[in-house]
Parts: sequence; C-alpha cells; structure tokens
Amino acid sequence: MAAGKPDFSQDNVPPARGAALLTGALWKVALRLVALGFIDAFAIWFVSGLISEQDYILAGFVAVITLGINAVFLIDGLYPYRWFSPGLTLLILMLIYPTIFTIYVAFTNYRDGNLLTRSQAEDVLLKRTFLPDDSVTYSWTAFRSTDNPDEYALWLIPDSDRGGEVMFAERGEIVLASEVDLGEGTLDEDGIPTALQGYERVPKNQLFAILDSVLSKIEFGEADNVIMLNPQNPTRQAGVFRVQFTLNDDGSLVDNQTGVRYEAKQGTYSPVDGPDEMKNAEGVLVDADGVPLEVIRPGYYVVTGLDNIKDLVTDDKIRGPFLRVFVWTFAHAFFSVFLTFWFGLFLAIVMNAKFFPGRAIFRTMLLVPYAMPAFISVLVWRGLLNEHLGVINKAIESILGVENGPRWFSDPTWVKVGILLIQLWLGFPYMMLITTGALQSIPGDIYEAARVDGANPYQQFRYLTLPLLLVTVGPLLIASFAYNFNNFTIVELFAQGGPPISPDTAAGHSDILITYTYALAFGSGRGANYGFASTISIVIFLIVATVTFFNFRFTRTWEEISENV
Amino acid sequence: MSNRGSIQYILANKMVRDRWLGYLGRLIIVLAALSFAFFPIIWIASAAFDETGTLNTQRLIPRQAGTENFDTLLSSDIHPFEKWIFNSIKVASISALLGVTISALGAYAFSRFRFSGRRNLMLTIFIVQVFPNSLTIVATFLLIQSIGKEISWFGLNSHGGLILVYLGGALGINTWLMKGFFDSIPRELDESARIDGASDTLIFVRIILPLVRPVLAVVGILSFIGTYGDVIISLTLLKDKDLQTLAIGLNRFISDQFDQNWGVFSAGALIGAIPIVILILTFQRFFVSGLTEGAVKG
Repeated sequence: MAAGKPDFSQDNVPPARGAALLTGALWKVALRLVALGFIDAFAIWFVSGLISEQDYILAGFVAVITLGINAVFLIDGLYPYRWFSPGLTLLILMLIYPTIFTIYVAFTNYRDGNLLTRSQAEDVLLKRTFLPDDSVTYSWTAFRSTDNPDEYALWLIPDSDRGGEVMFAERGEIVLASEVDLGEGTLDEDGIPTALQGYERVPKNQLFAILDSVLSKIEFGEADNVIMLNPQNPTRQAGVFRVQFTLNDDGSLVDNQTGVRYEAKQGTYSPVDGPDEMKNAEGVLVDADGVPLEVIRPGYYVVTGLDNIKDLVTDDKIRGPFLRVFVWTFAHAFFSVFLTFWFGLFLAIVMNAKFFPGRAIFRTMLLVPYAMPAFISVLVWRGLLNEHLGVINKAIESILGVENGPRWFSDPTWVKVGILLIQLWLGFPYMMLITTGALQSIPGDIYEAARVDGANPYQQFRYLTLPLLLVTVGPLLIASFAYNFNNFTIVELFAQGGPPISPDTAAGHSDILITYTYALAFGSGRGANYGFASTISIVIFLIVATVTFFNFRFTRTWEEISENV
Repeated sequence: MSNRGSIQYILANKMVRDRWLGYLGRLIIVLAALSFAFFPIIWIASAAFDETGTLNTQRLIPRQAGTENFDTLLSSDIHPFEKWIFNSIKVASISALLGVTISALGAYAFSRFRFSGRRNLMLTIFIVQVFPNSLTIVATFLLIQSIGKEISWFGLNSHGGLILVYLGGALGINTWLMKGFFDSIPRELDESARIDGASDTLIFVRIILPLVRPVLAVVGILSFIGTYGDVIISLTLLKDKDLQTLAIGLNRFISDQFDQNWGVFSAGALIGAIPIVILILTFQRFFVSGLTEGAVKG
C-alpha cells in the first residue's frame, strides 16, 4: 500500500488526510500528472470556447467539474472519489446541469427570435445594411477569382442618372476602373473588360445558380462603402449600401432608413418613436401601406421572471389547452395502469388454477407483446387502426355494415381510446407477471380459514386477495403510473399528440405534458419556445417528485435504502 | 390405471370431469387473450411476406407470398434500413458497455471503501435517477448544441452526443443493483490479495470483476434494451437520415407513405423486434424482479 494513502477499506472512516498530496511510486505520479495535464488543457480550451459563445453557466459547470477532477486525483484523502470521477462527471454534466438550466430557461424568454445574448443580437443588427433611395446604383458584371473559386468581384458601371464612376469592387477593396490592370484584355462595346488580372468573367448561364446563394450575400467594397446587389432588382442593379441601425447610448436602435427609434423591452426591439409622417391617426407607427411597424428580429434573451408562469395561468389561449393536456396526462396514466392491472390480474387468476396443463408455455407466449420494442408496437398498431385502410376499421365496416369506422386519428375521443388500447395491449403482460408472483406468495391457509368462516369466493377475493395483492403490487402500480405519466414513445408515435385543439396552440387532443413540451420546443411550424417548454417541464418535474415521494413514504423505500447504505 | 387420461375415464369420473371442464373454460379465456396478443404480430408477419406490399391490399393469408419486401428493405437507398439497425446496435452497445463500466467502478467503491460523503453520495444518486432525463429534454438539446459548437463529434446530429446523454444516468440505479451484488462477495478475498500486495485496481479487475460477471451481463442487457427503444432523445438529437436509429428511421419511413410502405415497414419491424423479443423472453425474470426490486433490495 502506498505510504500516504489512508486505508479506505476499513469500516471505520479514517481521518481525512487531505494534506497528503501525490504520494506513491514516482512513475505513477508522473503518469497521473500527465493525464491531468491533458484533461486540464482540454478543459481550458473547451471553457474558453464556451465563454466566447457566452455560454457562461455551462462554462462554469465544466470549470467546476475540472477542478473537482484535479482535486480528487491530487489529494489522497479523496482517493475513493477517483472511482466515481467518470460517472459523476457525466451525472453532473448531463443530468444536474440540464436540470438547473431547465429552471433557468423557464424564467427567460428563450425562444425563436430571442436566441442570442444582447451583444450577439446587437452584432447581428449593426451589420445590417440597406440601399438608400438616393444611392448611386450600378449595373454589374460578376468575375470569379482564378485563385479561389469562392471569391467574386464586380465590375460596376454607374446607371446614367446619378453620376458615379466605373469601378471594380472586390471584397474589402474598391478601385477605380482606370487603375485596374486589364493585362491583355480590352473593354468590349458595353465597357466590360474582356480579361482581368487574376479573374475570369462568370458566364451568363452560371450566374443564375450563384445569384441568390452567393452573390447576393457578399458585401463588396469597404466597411463604410459597402456595395451589394440591390435585393429589389438583383439581376440588374448593385448599389452603395448604408448601415441600417445606429446604437444609442441608452441601448435603443435608430433605423437610419426610416428614422424610427426601437427600444428593447424584455429582449425585443419594438418601435417607440419616429417621424410624424409615419404615424397614423392613433399615433401608431405604420409603414407606407398603413400596416403597423413590426419588432426587429432577432431580439435577445433576458430573464423575464414569472412571465411564462403568468401566461400559463392567465392567458386563456394557453391555459385552456394546457388544462386539457394536464387532465389527459393524468387520465392516460391512470387508465393505462387501471386497464392493464385488471386485465393482467384476471389472466393471472385464470391461470393460477391448480390444474392447468401448458401453463408455462401460455405465460411465456402472453409475454410477447411486452417484449416487443414499444416503438415498433405503436407503429404496427397505427397501421392496424388506419382510418381508411386499416384492418380493424375494414372489419368493423364489413361486420357491422357501417359506412365509417372510428376515426382513430382525427377524432378527439377515439384517439384517446386508441392510445389506451395500445397501452392495454403492451402493458397487460407485465401486470400479469407481477400479479402472478404476488398471488403465489399469498399463503393458502388463510383462504381455508375464510371458507370456514363462510366467506364466498367474491368476499375472499375482495377482502383477502385484493388487499394482500395491493400491498406487494401497489408500489409497482405507482411506479407504472409515474412511467406512463411521461410515456412519450406511445403518445408521440401514435398521433404526434393530434388532432390539433385549435390553430392558437401547439397542444393536440392526445398530447400529454411531455409531448406538449416536445411540441413547444421542437414541433415544426410554430417556432421553438424553449422558455415556455421548460416551464411545462418543471410542472412535470414537480408532479413526478410528488408521486415518487408518496410512493417512498408508502413503501418505506427511504428507510430501506438508508439501511442499505 | 393405465387409461387415466382416456376420454372414457374422464367422462366417467365426475371430479375429473369437472376439473377438465374448468380447464376448458379457462383455456378459452387464455386462448382469447392469446389471440388479442398475437393478432397484431401475425398481421405484420403476414404483411411482411405479402408481395402486394400495401396496407390496402394486404390479406391475412397473403395472396402472393414471397420475400420481396425484405429484398426491397435491404436494397433501397431511400430508406437506409441497415444503417438504422447498425446505428441502433452501435449506440446501444457502446452506451451499455461504458455504462456498465461506470456503474461497476462506482459499485466497487461503494462496496469496498468507507469515506466521508459516502452516504450522501449514495442517496443523491438514488434521488437523481428518479427523474428520467426526458424531463430536461429542452435543456439537454441546448446543452448538446453548445457542446457541438466546440466539438462536433458530441454535438447535435452525432452519435457521440447521443451516447453522452444516455451515459448521464449510468451512475444511477445500476450502481445500486451492482453494489448489492458486490457486497455479497466476501471481503476476505480482497484482504488476502491486499496482503499479497495487490492494489485496488488489481483487486477490482482480477478478483471482483470475474465474480460479478452475471450482474454485469444483466445490467448491460437491460441498458442495451432500454437504449434500443429510446425515442425522445434520439428524435430530438438526430436529424440526418443516415445517422438515425431504428426507432426514428422506421417512424419517419412509415409516416411518409403509410399505405405504400406498409409491406416493407412490416419486414423492418419484424427484423427490428425479433432479437429484442428473444432477449427479453430469455431474461424475463430479471425484468420483473431485477428492475423493480433491485433498487430496494440493494
């Protein structure tokens, strides 16, 4: 054993000898230091990258984790923690950090349009340019660099009415045409050089392909003399652009094109003041068509405090669908457990008879739905329940002679029935399995005693079997409830939470809280709202915590756990 | 005596007759349950071998049976099925392997060392694993996005990032499960090795690990199956068709063209399900007792 390291294998905790640093064989210490050196170098590089992206919270976590790793591997008193270092690193980074970040995001307006920090948003906006009405405009001809096929330049001939000179604009530099080295080239009848030193003219048939994606995006010329293609008329015209926004000391932005001043409120730049001629009768700033001016995008994210929660509680358009989702989440979890439990218990009792040849094989076969990966089962059921072509609706239509079978995906009620049907199918084997085990552990002589007392079979079941069963199976039912409370796979893959409740909300009729969260953050078409999605996550979090807490109390799990420590 | 099972004997003896009648009644119920359980499975098995290939034209007994759907499934470029299966197996195996390693290291330390903070660490790990990481899916997505800006191997649309998320919970319930098992291995074994001069690392690798191989295998298999079936995290992180796992790829594939793709999808569903079904049926006792009681029995 190494000299300085306390013996942790003894039952009495040794006094922490924190001061003992780096004891052990020389080559081992050297190896450890080199490994730590690599980890630290990587961490410093990673943290500085995160800081430059302004990911301060994450940078802080990575820094703390790295310090922890260093401490654990340098101080002998912390030796046992070396064994946890990979697991704890991942636990802190991938579980604890996201939990804390979820809480943080829930109190911000982090969503599409507000994804940047203030300085990042300002950087983006201050780079915007516009083509003033009185700008000198040019007709342009594109040249491609012969050295670098991604570099382009424009030969500019001024449009007649506003003066200006013939120029050649590269990225970062503008020169007068007279100073350009034409080499062997000459000007053709349109005034365009036939050859240019280091450039070749882009053939007309290739122009279209690069016009939108490349040429329109390049800022030619110098910082205060930007020449770009005119977005209104890109094929014919280029012009001298000006910077669109000026940043005031108070953080507001002035649009140099219109003179309108935008102030940042809760991370969004809204128009507050402008020239009188842009105001309508009510004093609202409008554009030339009389439409009120919009906010500038992107804005930035800020802590908005309880706004998300306030919206959830007070805004009818949000609260209504949320309550529906909330109720269905509970109903879905409850009925899933309820149906699977009773069906599973029924089968367990049926097969629990003394005389039942083939019991083992039947039990194993009945497990198959539970053994199938759930995502495959749901997709298969989606085919069986297909409204027009699925075998179930076809059977219903032909047997009952009705025109249309249940609308499993477009009817708000049937979609829920469909989900519960799938839950029943894939969940009953589990319940059968656990109730079988519980039934077998109930001693037979208590039934004998009950029979002697004159209890009929129903009374025996109601007052003996069921209570005894629930003692052992109860915690598993609660665990199953908690699991189905967040059963994303089944609800999402069955109908993506659909059918929609209304165009105002991301929530659908079959959405449960976790799929609603997903739709808010990643659903297409509506724009991501990470802040609000995180608020819903916290709601789920609190419910799961409560259910688990009561389950632990009920089963005395905590006491057992503590004893086992 | 020799004809106890014969029909005449059963009919002649009232007790035996009642027993068989009761069995018949129970058997009918069980067979009904079996047909409920197997109907979807038989239906897609039939669809997989039905060469008409669509939802609309499929019959229970294929009118045109053959393996065309399997050929299409494995040869088409539009749906890289082999890649999905490969990705699923790759991600699930790597996660299981690394996860088992992480848990085993933790379980060994919990089982063999006494140190300050041990109790709190164990309780913390127990509490943290109560909350599934799907609850923080938004923050996890943003985290992986941030990491990806620096290291693209672990960013969005990468298997590295996905595995990283799966490993976040590795030091959870499995450590508890394993610790109980580690505790059951007599300390005298390590002590004698220690006297012979073996280090902790050596004791862990040479003495403990070989003895706990069964629990490592069970935990690994459980973790593999769990990861294989994940939808929410892989759906959030993976966008590229060639990188997707089976769950995401199959869903996308069948959602595009439900009727048209039905036959090929069924073939894929069968291939994707059969190995897992066999695994679970083989290890079923661990699924019931292991997962639910292991946490408590420690």
